[in-house]
Amino acid sequence: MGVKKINRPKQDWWERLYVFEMARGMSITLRHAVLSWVKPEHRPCYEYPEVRRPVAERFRGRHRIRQREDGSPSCVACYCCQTACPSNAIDIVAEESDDPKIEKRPKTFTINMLRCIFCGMCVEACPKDAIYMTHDYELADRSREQLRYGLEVLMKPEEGKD
Amino acid sequence: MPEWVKIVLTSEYTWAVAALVVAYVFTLVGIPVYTWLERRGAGFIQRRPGPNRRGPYGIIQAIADAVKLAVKEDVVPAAANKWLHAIAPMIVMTVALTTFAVIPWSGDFVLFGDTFRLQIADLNFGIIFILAISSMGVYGTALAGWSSNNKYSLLGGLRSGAQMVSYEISMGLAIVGLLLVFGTVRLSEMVFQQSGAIWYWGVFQAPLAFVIYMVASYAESNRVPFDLVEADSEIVAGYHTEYSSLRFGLFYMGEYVHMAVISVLTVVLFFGGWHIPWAQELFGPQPYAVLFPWLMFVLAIVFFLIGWDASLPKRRVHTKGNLIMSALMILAALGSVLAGGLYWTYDATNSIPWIASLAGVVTQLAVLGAKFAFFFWLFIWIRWTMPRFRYDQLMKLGWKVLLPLALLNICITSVLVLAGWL
Repeated sequence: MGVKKINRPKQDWWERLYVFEMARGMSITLRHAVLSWVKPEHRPCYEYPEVRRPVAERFRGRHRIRQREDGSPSCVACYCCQTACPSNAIDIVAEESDDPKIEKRPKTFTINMLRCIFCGMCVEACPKDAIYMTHDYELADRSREQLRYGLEVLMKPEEGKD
Repeated sequence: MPEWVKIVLTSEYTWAVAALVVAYVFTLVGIPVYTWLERRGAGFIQRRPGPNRRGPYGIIQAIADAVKLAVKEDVVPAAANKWLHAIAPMIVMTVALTTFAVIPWSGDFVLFGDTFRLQIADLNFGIIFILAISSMGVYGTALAGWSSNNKYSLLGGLRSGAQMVSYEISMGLAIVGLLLVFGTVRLSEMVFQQSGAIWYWGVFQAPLAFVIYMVASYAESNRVPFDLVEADSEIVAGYHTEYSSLRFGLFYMGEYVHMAVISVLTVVLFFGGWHIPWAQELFGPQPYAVLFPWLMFVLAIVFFLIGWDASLPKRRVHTKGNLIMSALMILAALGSVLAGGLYWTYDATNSIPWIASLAGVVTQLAVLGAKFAFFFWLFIWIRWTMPRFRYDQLMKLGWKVLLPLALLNICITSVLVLAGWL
């Protein structure tokens, strides 16, 4: 390994005076300051609580479990998502379904949102396409218990849709 | 006019208190505005809004910050020297505030035969007083660094000591060049000598001294590009690493007061203080009194524009604070129009001399304030533009560039003064 030689550009006397190059830099910052003062809409910022950043179509937010026509969850409690989940966030308890055409249904279906890493493996694993990820991302809550989402939370429609 | 108004107006104490009030407005009252201006300015330069939530245009944010600082726990390190640790922030703040005692805020004005001036103490060694007091500031930062018993703080304190001492010399010598031109160290007299044409201003009489003074005073204030003392990417927070709560607040406020001192002093020494160039030639024997109604009309327009803007819905909502602000601004605009209009209709400049004197003082303060505002903005502007100097660059600039330049400046100025050209 030889020593790597970096050829830095030589400064001419004008640049070494510093004052004029400094004035040039300051004119650039002043231009930005004036622009963001007179044209606030050109700032690359969102005034967050009032204006929300639009998310991409493939954005992975809160999970949602689809419903059948009669309002029951589409989930058949096959444990595929629970098995696929890399962070053990999903906990399903299955029970026998009333409907003779359907074998099982979830008695409880809990996703611990504190464990969830929003990887979307559960969505990939689901054979019935029952679970998918919405665009909701404001998931703060007041206790750990409230962040263990049960069936009724998971079946809520996406914000601003349906 | 009742007799007591005359007694109050012609009392020396009234004007001493008035000068104190002006000094307080520029320092302690100004601090929330300065911090707001800094954060808003930083935001705008970086293409973001800055604090804009609490109160109209986010102006209450600074007070919210102060309350936050006040209710935080005051942590003193167990190994610290408690006494020095407590006294260091006080030194910084006291030193910064004391320099305001000798700033002349207005020219002489005559009320019922007596002459007054808005200045707390017209010392005949004014500028030397300021140099002496402001060089005490190094005790604050150096002691803070040493007493915290923390290696980063100590490094910050050491840097502050070295930096302040190096740049103090250049600053003093630059001012010597200016003293040669003015032939006095009394600040009020220096301002009087800058009246008339614009080339009587210090900056045109001693341009090299101005450049050296500006660089050295930025180094004195420990701000970018000379903020090696607190250099947050190198030594955590430098001398105030171990400070929290209002003790940190004192350092923080001291920095802004120091900036205000330097801005005012730059205006007073180099930019004619409260003078408008060619004032006498353009506006007659009482230029500032004549300009008073114009100042009021300009203020009215500014107030009206702010009030109008505040009344517009921000982020699609009307907030209560903005509406109150808007109402106050419209009232202020009406008040300014009323004051200016009454002054105009009664021709107070010629018919009511005591009103004319007071109006002149107000105009002079406004002129000083406008110049001051520019130099304060310059501090903020430079801070968010420049990168920090390396330590060797700092020392090289101080000792190998500024010091010889200051000496050269003294030689040139002496020759020019002896030749009678200045």
